[in-house]
Amino acid sequence: MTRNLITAFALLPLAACGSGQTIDPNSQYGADPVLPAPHEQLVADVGVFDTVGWKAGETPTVPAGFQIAPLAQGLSNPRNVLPLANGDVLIVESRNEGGEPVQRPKDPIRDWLMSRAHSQTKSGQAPTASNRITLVRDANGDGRPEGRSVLVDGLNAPFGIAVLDSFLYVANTDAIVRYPFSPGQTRITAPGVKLVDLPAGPINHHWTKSLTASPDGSRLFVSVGSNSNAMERGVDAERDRAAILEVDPRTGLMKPYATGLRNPNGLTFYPGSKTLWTVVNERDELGPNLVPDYMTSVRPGGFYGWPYSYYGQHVDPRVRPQRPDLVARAIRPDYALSSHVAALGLTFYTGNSFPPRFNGGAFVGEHGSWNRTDPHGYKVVFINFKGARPTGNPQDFVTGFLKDGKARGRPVGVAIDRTGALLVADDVGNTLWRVSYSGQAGAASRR
Amino acid sequence: MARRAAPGPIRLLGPRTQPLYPALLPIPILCFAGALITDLAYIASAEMMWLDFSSWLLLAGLIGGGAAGALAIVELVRARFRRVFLMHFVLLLAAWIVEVFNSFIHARDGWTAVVPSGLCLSIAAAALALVAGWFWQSAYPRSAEIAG
Repeated sequence: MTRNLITAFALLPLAACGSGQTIDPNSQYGADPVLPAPHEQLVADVGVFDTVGWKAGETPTVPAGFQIAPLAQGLSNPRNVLPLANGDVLIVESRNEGGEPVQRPKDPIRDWLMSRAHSQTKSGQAPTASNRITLVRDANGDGRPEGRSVLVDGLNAPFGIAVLDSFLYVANTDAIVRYPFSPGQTRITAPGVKLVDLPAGPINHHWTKSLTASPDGSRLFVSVGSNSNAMERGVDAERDRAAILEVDPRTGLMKPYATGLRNPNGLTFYPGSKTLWTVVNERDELGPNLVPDYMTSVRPGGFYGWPYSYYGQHVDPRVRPQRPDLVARAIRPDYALSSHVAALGLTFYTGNSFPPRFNGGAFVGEHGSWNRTDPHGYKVVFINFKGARPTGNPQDFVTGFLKDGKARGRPVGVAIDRTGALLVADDVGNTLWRVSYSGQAGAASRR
Repeated sequence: MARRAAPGPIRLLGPRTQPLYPALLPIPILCFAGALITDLAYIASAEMMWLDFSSWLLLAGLIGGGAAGALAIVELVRARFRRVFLMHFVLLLAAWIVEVFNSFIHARDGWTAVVPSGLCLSIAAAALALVAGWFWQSAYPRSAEIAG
């Protein structure tokens, strides 16, 4: 049973019918992606890959001149990473416990498929306790950590974290909790204090809550994904969801900042600006080449379409009642990443150890597709920025997560550490990877 | 309390006065007709609850209909006068196959799960199932009494 599950539902001859969405694979990147007509197949394409983990010595692939090595291994579902200025790296290990309530016969089937793509029993690293933050100390910045400790545990499916004004803010799936914290600390013993509840509840479909602080430290921004693919759980399940919310860190007062974002993650302010950026997972089951996931700057008060329309004013035929009033003001996002790549991590290059062309560009962690037989994503891509705007096609940067139809790892959160190295949280590989540049003299080199 | 049939006419499988097949047959007929009604309720209201009901009714009808159909094959082999029973069986099988496809259509996330193809298949399958039940009325006496 180690074969991948491509077209697991190919029970019916009609399942083999073409998608009717043949497009040039390079045409769904950038500001003006090609959007084929929606094609709802009789049986949605499914491409889910068995997880095998990394054998000793195996690593993902990086471009020439770069080196990749694990900064921490044997983690338990690491989903996000926050490097601190003193060389400590906070790794968020997270697992959402409990399945969603079954609403329709398709739900248990989908849950089973999805769980296969996250299974870690075969990776050789028995995961035990998750839902904690592990601290890795690399004081001299050589990529070889001197210490490791559990900073705080007993969390509830945490994802986003931020350090602000001697507090560590943790976006659990159901609340933002803060702990007194000063960099250098390796263990937090003080109890957390809840700042504000976040939408969770028994369904909690998209459960990752991304978190960042505004550059002036006056506001927190937290992303809340939708509770469904295209509102099939009903409108009541979507209260305060598919949105980025703005939170006052002193009072916990919360209000929507932008809405209609199906599953936003990777909240990051563009360096030296007041512009918030996010990567968004768009909807499934409209065909293998629809709808492109995207990266976009976020306009305050902006509405980005979900569930009523996608990529601007393209109406989703599944959603009733329709809302032409909302569709009319749906904002077209800035930059398409192609369909179903599952972008979950975003960071901008602010270091100075990579070649200059990387300065100000974006790294995007693409967890990888399930709703197409030909996989998309499963890599970290780099996107050039010119004048604080994305330009050109994404370039593969960290690849090799998928090999011979098996997932050795799946990238999620990305960040730049104080040495300018790229950190990648790999939840299936249970590893935190560090990518450094060694193409020129003077750069830190390993082995 | 199933007793072995005494020598005489072939009876339907099951206890002497309560044969099994007529007990299973209403499940697909009612579920498939019910799914048509809940489809119409969904179209009228756009309330996802009705689409959920349709999906479950289709699943229940497929399970009950699958059990009934398996038994019907056995009865078909045993029956002396097969032509009327065969008509009934083919209609029921057609309804079942249509609803297999309809279940996949109904798994879509919203309006297109019903409009237009889901509704069309629901109408077709409900009609086939009802006619299959109607044919059963003439097939049953022949199988149960005349046959043999």
